[in-house]
Amino acid sequence: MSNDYNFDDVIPVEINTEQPQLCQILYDDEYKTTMGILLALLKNEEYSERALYITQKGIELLASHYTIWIYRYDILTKLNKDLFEELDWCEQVALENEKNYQIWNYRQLIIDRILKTSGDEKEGSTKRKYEPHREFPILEAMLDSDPKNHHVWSYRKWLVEKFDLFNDPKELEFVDKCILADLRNNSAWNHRYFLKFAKVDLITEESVKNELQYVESLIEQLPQNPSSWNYLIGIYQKQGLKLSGLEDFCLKFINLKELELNDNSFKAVKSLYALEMLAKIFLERKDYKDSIKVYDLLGTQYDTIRSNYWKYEKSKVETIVGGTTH
Amino acid sequence: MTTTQQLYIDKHEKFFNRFLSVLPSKLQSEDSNKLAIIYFSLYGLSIIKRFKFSEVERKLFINSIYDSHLIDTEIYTAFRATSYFKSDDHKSHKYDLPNLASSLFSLQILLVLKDDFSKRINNHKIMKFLQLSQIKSGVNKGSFSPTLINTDSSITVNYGETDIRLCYIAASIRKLIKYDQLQPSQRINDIDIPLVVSFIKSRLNANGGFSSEILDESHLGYTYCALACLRLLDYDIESDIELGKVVNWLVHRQVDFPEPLYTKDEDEEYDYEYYRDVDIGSFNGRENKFGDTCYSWWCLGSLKVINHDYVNLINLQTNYKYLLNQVQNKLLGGFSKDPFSNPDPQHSFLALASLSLTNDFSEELDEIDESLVITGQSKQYWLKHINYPS
Repeated sequence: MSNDYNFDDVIPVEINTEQPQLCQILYDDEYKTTMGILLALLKNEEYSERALYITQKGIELLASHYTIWIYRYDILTKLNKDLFEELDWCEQVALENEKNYQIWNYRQLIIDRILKTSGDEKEGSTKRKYEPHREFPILEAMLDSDPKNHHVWSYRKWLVEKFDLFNDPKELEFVDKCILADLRNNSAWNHRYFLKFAKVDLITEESVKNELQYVESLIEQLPQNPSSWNYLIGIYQKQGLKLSGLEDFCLKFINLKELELNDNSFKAVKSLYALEMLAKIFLERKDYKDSIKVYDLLGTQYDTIRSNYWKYEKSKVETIVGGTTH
Repeated sequence: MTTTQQLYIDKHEKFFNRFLSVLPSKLQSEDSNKLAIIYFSLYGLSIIKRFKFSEVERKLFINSIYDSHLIDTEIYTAFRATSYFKSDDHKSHKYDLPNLASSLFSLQILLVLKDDFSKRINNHKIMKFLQLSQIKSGVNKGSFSPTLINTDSSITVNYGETDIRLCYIAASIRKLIKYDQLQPSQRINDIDIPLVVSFIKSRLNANGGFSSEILDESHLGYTYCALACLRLLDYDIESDIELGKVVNWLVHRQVDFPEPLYTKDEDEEYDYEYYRDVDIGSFNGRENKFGDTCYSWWCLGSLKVINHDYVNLINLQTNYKYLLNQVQNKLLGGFSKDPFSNPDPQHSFLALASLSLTNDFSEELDEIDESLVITGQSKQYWLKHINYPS
């Protein structure tokens, strides 16, 4: 977009004139001029090329303000602009300012509009068709620079849902790549869970088995990792499986003999999540004494920062014991 | 408290007052969050018991909130985010839009300034705004949109990204104008509460936390908003067994790296870039992320929302150490989000709010209401002076 638009006829709205005010911002001249012109056009409901240009400048300065986005969207639709060009523009803005969160919601609106307007076209139309895979490079670039960007992952979920990409090979490959690149990337694990378990008709005995194998092998690679344990526990909860099925698996990370020795050696435990799971398994099969013992170990030796919490969990088990014996 | 664990109240007072006066141009990109900056700074002064404005100043501030931010249409009452989008006196324009978060911040600001807003703000009309903002269909049904668009045919349409934060904001506004105290038959513009509750519950995950979208990553900020919102709507959190895992998830947000489960290399670094010793005692918002000052509030606040005794389930001493020794700025005042950043009003206020959730700093700090996030003084004012006729 060029900046040879002429605004000579516009009287910029003066900003920052109220006195007194709290948190008075000392705007610089560029801000005052841009916002002044933007406000003047917006109040006049001017929908023009130069107005479109000034919204871009406004968004660069004040990305968090909804109204500028709304005005820009109105201009686009009234001028019947090419929406694919707008998607390209969004990509540039996103890459330039990673903290620009409004852009993702706006992009959804643009895509929704593309779908809506292309649906109106008659068959044989030369109009470009929207292809959801066009989002992949920009999302990959964004996640490459911040692999845990919450807004980008949320947007990715929206895309998957919208275009039913749950079983899309490229999508599955991408999330697999993210997990293997960083086993502790909680966002990536969460996205995998979404792909595999959000749709009931995609869950089969075989898929559950595969996912259990997948996560268990990655827990074995890195046992002290909340993200993979969450994934495992999530499957158990979703499928209504008994926790005791995990006992043998947990014991891969807990050396019960050394634990019994109680010699303050940490060698006995390779994963706090396995230890906590063990306490729950013991509780599930009403082995209260051992459950209490494990909570004790967590609170006094292995996870002392949470000692009060483990005491509280222990006291809950003790209440059950008290209730059954008296 | 030991001498190393001290609060630099004088510095914090200067810090908050500095933000309330004049802000440099580099903060102009925060323009639409200005009400948030005002809220954090005024409540920052209130919580350290240094709220010392004269009657004249107080009146001027109150008037400037109404003049710059209040939108009072024939249909609804709300507040706008940025003052200069205000319509001209003689003619309202299409893009002068209400904002849900700005509406809550404005009411909270008016409270701390001891303004009886029940005189200026019609409860049914601000509830009308909430009612219009509530989303009626689709995957976000029950939640609220951040703003409303005026269409050419003068129908309002929901706009913007929605999530549990907006539910929390709506529930807080409803509580602050005491709509819950009216008889149900008098609440002519009430929101659909069962819908809000089912929206929130749909964002509950297997690990016990809440997320922005269905099956999105559990996040401590959203989890606080979910719990506080339920509480503000008088929902019985502790009796709902489906919420039984949230305490476990909350206490696991406190960061620690006990040896030898976590090992360091020869440069004293852990094998993961998101793990670092300075974070011990702090809280992260999601698994395997850095600690951040604000999560100390979101976690302790959440626990207190569930049950007043539950703040004791976390390790308070290491939390204090992190806040007072790692992120408190002893030179400029204020608190930063982590030990490597500059202090800002939001993290400063939330750090102090976290410290005031227990009694250990009650000499220096006022109380804080864990769901409305207003100080003891402003709560007293609210209880006593804000009254809508039934």
